[in-house]
Amino acid sequence: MAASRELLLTLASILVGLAAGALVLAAGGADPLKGIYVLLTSFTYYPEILLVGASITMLTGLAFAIPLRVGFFNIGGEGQLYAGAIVSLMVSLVAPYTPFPGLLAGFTAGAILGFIAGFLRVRLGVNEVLSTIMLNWAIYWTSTYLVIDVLADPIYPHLTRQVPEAARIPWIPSSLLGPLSEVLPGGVPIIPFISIAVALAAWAAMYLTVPGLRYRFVGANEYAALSRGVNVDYVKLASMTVAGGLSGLAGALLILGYSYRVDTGLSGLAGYGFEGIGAALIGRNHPLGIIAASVFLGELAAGSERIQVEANVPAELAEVVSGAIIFVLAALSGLKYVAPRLLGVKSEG
Amino acid sequence: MGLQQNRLLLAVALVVVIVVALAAVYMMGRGEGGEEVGGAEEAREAPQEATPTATIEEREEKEGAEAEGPGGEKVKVLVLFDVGGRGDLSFNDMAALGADRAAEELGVEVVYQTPKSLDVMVSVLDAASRSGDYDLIVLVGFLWLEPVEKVAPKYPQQKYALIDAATSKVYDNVACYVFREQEVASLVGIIAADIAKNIAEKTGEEAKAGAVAGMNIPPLWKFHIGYLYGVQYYNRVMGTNIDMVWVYTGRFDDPTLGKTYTEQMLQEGVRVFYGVAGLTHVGMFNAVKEAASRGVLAFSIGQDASQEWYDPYTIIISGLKRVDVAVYTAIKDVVEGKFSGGIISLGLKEGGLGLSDEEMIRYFAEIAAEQGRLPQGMTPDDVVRVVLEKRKEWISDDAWRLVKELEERIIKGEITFVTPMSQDEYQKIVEELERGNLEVAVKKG
Repeated sequence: MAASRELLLTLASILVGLAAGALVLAAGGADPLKGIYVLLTSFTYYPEILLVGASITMLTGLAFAIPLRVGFFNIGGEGQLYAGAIVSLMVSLVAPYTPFPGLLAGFTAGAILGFIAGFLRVRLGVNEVLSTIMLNWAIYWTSTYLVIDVLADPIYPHLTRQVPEAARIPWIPSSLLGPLSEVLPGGVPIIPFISIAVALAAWAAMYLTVPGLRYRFVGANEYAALSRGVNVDYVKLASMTVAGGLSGLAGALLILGYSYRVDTGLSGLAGYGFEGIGAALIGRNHPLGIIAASVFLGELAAGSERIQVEANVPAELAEVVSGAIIFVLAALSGLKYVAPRLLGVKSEG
Repeated sequence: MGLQQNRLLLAVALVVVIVVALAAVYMMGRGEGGEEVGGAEEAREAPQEATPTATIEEREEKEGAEAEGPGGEKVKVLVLFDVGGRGDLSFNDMAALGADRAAEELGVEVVYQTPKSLDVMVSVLDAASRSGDYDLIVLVGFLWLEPVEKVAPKYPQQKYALIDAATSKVYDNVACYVFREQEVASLVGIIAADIAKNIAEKTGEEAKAGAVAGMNIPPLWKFHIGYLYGVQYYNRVMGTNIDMVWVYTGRFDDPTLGKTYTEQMLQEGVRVFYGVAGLTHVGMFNAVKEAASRGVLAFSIGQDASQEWYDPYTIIISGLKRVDVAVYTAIKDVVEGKFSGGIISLGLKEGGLGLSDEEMIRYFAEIAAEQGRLPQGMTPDDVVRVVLEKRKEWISDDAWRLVKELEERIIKGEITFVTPMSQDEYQKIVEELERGNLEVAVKKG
């Protein structure tokens, strides 16, 4: 019952969000119907952008959603992703044999950052919003330094050196895709499958295991959990650490599975961490919802490239349109909590 | 409970329907003047039908084959900006200027795209090449160098024009448009030397010409050699002894650094500053502006786009790198069937370089005005007026005569500058030039 209602509500919010996007397009002087159509169908033109964008946002979305349930706002997904990306790149340059050391190192780097913020909150009461935002900047500048001064490519000074062939996560070549090879001539990256597996594992861990039960218990009522002997601080710290690790893993997947290098402005990494917050809100903080939401966001990313050419929309307006859609969608997710009270329906808790 | 839930659902559904309906009505009103109430279907189809007819009409008007691609259709060009995109008042805006001109004069269809990040550049370029929709893909800026080297070999039928960068290998389908920067820098050098001389005469103190440069990399060597050549050319002809101070800041994106270096140079007696450091030399502009407000006589010179609008009182001229000409030429070559892969260098002769004139100053002042970035209380007309007044006051007729003379000799091919291939060669040329040996910078024969 609750699930089908959730789904309906989400679909309704998507429609309203698209209507908002259409209004922005119309206000900007573009053809709104065509614009929205292009925005929703560009995956056929840019399948890679959708697949890669979705797989990264999926993980940063989980990284926001997991701590949120136990009352933590992890705004540090961005920095954790940078750390994971840079560290995995460095490891792959040192050990250019398989992608695994890079993935592990990326996860660890993010997890350490998540742990720091979690530890500061649990032990010293430092607000995690502040500490994660500050850590974002610390990591941003450290990464910029490493990219420019340590990892720079001698041939292209605005880029870092590339991940060596052997350390890359391979793509499925289009020759193995059979009938799909027409649609996907460039092949398919493997990273979306990894991300989906991680999201499903997160779901399973939450709902099918004992630690997952403790975690949900703390999320439902911290004090009840405490009185029942659950180590609340430990659960919170663990959730922040795992979340940081997932963001770090996202960065590692991006570098080892798609872009293979970083640019001096970090433009290839920027934004995924914050987009994850959107994915978590739209996906109602549920791993399965986040999978769907990040696919939708990936499509918007592909669409905001394509719409520039197909509907003559300037890049800035394209950003505003997808921003408006995400904003409305995320805001309407709050409707779940507000609307029942407005209409006099008792909260279901 | 069930009833209330239904009420909630109903309410949400109602809101959605209303919003969508409102949006649809609004869009249709915009689309076709609100004539048909019949349905969205018709309204949507109408413009689609109109487009082909319009194209045919235009084609008939044109009659010639000049605007038609191989298939007899209108030539279609995709312009891919670098990640910064429009509104930079420099590189990307100039590229758009050239493409707009091509659309107007050559009757080609031009579409623009700015990729969101460096990451998606390869995907974007690959998809556009694969689609086969475009007769030419124009790639603006060196950031496209790596993506085009990856993608171009896969699509030998697709033509690319890379602006201001050259691939390390020659591809038949990639035309690289590069600039002979020494030529414009040499003209700027003459102007700078002249202003320095006039300042020295006015104040009775020594005044040097200087430049704030970005990184010590081959493209900047060309500027250095040209600029130094211009200053020494002036010294030789006019019998003066103006010094030139060239400083590498090491960064293209750090205005604070540019300002610090400029302030040091001001103390050393440099009074004319040529900025070849991208964003870094905005700091140079600021430092000169502040010095001027303290009563120090000093001027700046911009590079790439016409940058006088930033502070018309102290920025007296700009060396232009006509990205617009490069883009226009690339499109024209395709329209005329003259496209060929390899490196095409543009200089004064091709109109690819030059000094900012009234028209360019005004053009960029107008874009800046649109963005609200002009100095407080100034209009584009004010900018042009102030700059021309300042030029009249501080640049002598002798300098303009020398500029013209050197320009003619370069255009005629009497003077062709060398391009150093190594740091050693570059150092040697600079040392010789400093001794007054102008011939070392010029190719023999």
